[in-house]
Amino acid sequence: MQIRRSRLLAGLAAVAAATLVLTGCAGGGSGTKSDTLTYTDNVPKDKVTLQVWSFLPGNYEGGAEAYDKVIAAFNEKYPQVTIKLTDMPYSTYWDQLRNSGVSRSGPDVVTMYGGAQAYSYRNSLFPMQNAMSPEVKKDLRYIDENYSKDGNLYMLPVGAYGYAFLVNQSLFEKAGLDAQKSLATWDGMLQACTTFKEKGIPAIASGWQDGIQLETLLYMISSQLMDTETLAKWTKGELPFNDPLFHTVIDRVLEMNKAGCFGGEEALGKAMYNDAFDQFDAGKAALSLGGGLDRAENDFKSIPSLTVIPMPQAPESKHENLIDAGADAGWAVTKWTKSPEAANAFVNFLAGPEAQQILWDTVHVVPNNNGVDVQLTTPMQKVYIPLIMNPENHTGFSSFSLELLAVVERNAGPLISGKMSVDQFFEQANRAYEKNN
Amino acid sequence: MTATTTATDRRGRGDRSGERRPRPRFRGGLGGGPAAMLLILPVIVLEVLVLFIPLLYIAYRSFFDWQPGGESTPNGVDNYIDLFTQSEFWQVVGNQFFYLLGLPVWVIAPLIVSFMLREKVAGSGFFRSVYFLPAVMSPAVVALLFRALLSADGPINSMLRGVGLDFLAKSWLSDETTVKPVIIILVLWAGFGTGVLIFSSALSAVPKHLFEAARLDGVGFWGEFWHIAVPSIRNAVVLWMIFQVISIFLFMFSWVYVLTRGGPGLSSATMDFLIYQQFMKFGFYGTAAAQSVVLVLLIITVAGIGGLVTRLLNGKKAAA
Repeated sequence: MQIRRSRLLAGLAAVAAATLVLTGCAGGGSGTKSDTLTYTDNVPKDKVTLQVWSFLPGNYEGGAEAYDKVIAAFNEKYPQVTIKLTDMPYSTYWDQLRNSGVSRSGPDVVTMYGGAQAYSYRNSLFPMQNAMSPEVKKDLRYIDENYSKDGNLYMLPVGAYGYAFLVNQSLFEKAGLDAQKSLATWDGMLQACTTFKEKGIPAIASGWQDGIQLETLLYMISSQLMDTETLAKWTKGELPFNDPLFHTVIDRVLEMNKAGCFGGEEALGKAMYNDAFDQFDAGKAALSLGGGLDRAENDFKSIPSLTVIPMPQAPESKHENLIDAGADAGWAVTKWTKSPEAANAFVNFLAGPEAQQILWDTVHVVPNNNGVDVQLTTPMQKVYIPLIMNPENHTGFSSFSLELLAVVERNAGPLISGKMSVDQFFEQANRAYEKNN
Repeated sequence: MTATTTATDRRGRGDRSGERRPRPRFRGGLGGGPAAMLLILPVIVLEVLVLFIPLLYIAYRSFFDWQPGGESTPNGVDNYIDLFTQSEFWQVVGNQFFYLLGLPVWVIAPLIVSFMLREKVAGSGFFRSVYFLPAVMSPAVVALLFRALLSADGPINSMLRGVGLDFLAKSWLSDETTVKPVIIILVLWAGFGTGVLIFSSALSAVPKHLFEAARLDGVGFWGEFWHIAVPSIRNAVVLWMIFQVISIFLFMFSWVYVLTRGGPGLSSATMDFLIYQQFMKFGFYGTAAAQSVVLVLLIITVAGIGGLVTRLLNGKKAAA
């Protein structure tokens, strides 16, 4: 009996010790430190090494060399700062960043998307709204829409993309259509889809299995339907996903499907979104959803009749010629960096005109800094860049939360193929939206 | 005298079965004394540090809006309510139990093959090696391979179309009706060799004369299998079953992640995949913690049921 009692006491002592350990850990994890970053020109003269994580250099042919040039230019100004840039594959980048955030260690500067994605990493990142140099603030585009719903800007947006149709004009001719005329209006686009279907030519290269295509269409059409005020509400988390605006977007996507824009029932759900790029590159589809100049330049090599035309405005559009366009990505400073001043100086340099000029000149990363001198030389640059630079453009891309996007991605195939009703889709999507708000 | 000598000879020189040696008393807790305690202490410490404290920590954190590096506020059982009111969660639990439908196949298939290989079949060692090969391959690599094989325009569908079985060609991994059965078959393929190995080693301990006697009595293949082989290696079978069940709850991640990413929709997602998504992708740390606790409790329950079944079977055996 005595032995049992002593074991019981020992057990209780162990539980108490474990509780103490846990409570101690809990205290450690509940940091309430006020974390702000303010711009200063005075980077300490002490030698410092910054670890930088990014997936951007690998996105461009010759990207690593281009970023080396950017770092060299930065070091001319700040020779005391050594930059160690790690180019990481996109597929594992975010997991590693999450691990880094939980362990509170790792890189000093990271590539980051704005809005909802940055908010998801908010405990790891310094708010940057007061950390921008006056020169950068003056010339940088897409700042407002990259704020998170808590009123903080966790990254400085850098680079630019714009979603438009990459158009294989030869296939339009083959179908007896004029691409410019067909894509001038929404109804014209639907009519073209129907014609392509009748001729046995896939209209838009499609891959619905991973849902990225629905996501892309969601950005493209919802941006048209948002005026500046609505976009501001969406950015602040004040526009629910069950707003009629998003129902209209989904209705328009389903309308496109009905018109045969994405191929027949056979094609649905089979391919991944990236497979659709191959389909288009092989000249097997008339249109592709394109977001970046680099892809257009590449496709132009295999499709000489390639051009870029905006998706026509949906009937409910609040704009004349808008395309969904915004920052390519951005850069952020982590809260555990030992040298916030140096890290911030590097981020400001990346967003500034000098770095963006180097990237434009070497690998044609479209700049979002008005101080960059953009000379258009190639055919794709001449048709695409003016579309991306259109001041009417904006995007609500950043404010789609990760969980909402996951619902969109996983239900895209079932929704398009009719296995899931629109109501079921919105029921799940709203739940995800509300969880984030 | 002669009879005594014969009996002694039969027993052999080393046979001391007449003597009752005390058996080690490790049963019933730490009855081995301080020396035994000292020996197992490092393992206990390691288990506590690596397993139990993190587990307790996760359980504790499941009652918070957990924000690593930020302010974590207690939220009672909100994470659990959130979890249990999500239809997605129940869909995934349903998937998990659907995968358990593969259990009879995962057990019986390697059992039959190991029974067939127990005799001196020509090349039985070769076959065992071939069967075991998938077990030493990374599930991620195997899953990638099968993703290519099973794609809509992949070799399997091409083969089916080539032999005029067009109606059987499907989008195996993107069709809600086929994706789970396909995964069950792949798990069978991957675990088959290990099962054969375990059952073969268990069968090798069964006295051959039992089978020989049965054969003399006219018992056929299935009779030997069901009435001699299976009862003789019952413990190994139950152990394998428990292992398979736990694997379904714990080790499906790499398959699902590489093959389907849980899709289409959530129709092939497992709980570990959902935990990964909540934690790594969305940053819902508290929800992921609650889900981890539920998963651990489910596994404990299932393992407990397995233990109970083993005891019942052993009890019946002893009674017989």
